[in-house]
Amino acid sequence: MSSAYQFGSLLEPISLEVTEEIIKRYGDVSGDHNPIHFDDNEAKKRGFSAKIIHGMLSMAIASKIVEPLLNDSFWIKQYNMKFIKPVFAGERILVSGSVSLVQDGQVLIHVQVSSPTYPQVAKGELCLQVYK
Amino acid sequence: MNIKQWEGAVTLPVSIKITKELLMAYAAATGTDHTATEELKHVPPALPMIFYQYMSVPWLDGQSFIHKEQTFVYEYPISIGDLLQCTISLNSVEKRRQFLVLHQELIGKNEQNQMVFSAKSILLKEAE
Repeated sequence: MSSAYQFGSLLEPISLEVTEEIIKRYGDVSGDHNPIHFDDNEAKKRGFSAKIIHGMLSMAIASKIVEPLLNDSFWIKQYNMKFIKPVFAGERILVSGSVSLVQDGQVLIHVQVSSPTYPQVAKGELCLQVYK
Repeated sequence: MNIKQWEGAVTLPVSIKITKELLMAYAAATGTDHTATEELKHVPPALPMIFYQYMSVPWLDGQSFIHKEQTFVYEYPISIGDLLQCTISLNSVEKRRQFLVLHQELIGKNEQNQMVFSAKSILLKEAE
């Protein structure tokens, strides 16, 4: 295992503006056409100030932070995420990550997603497993 | 709909083939460029959630939920060409304050009937 993956090592952050076009594409590819993602009025009826992106879209984008490692020697064994606050359509999200544990051929990566509105919209962990 | 009545229910199994087209469509929908996707050995970890659209899940029909937590656990990584037999189960429905909390699980097995992945979701819905 590379010595680059040590406790506390920071991963290269990623950011993406989650445009309405991306939200539409995700709705199409996932089949999730819940109106809270596409219609401000429907989102307001559910207590949001504007339409929000799919939580699973945040999770999909956040996982890209480990892609540089996957083509090296790891595969993803586990991935979890808690969705804490909404991301509004059109916002740019920032994904940051750090190594929180290296043990027995596994690397645990803590990831956090933030937006201009909320410092933490989601947090989770990716467990990477070394190929045997 | 009385979602509680579906507690313990499991959907019929559905076979899903992992194709390059499916992977590329997912990548485009998540803001990933084409070249980066071509270099991946395995599909992205959150991709199995799009399998929901191929499955009939009666307790989700016409309902609107808020996604609170998601966990994927892999026994094997998924690659293009894999054929997965998928089911979704509604493991529990609890009432917590004004919300219903659903715990459900999508699982995928390979052609040898071995578990490939589990995708556990916690969903919230305002109680009626």
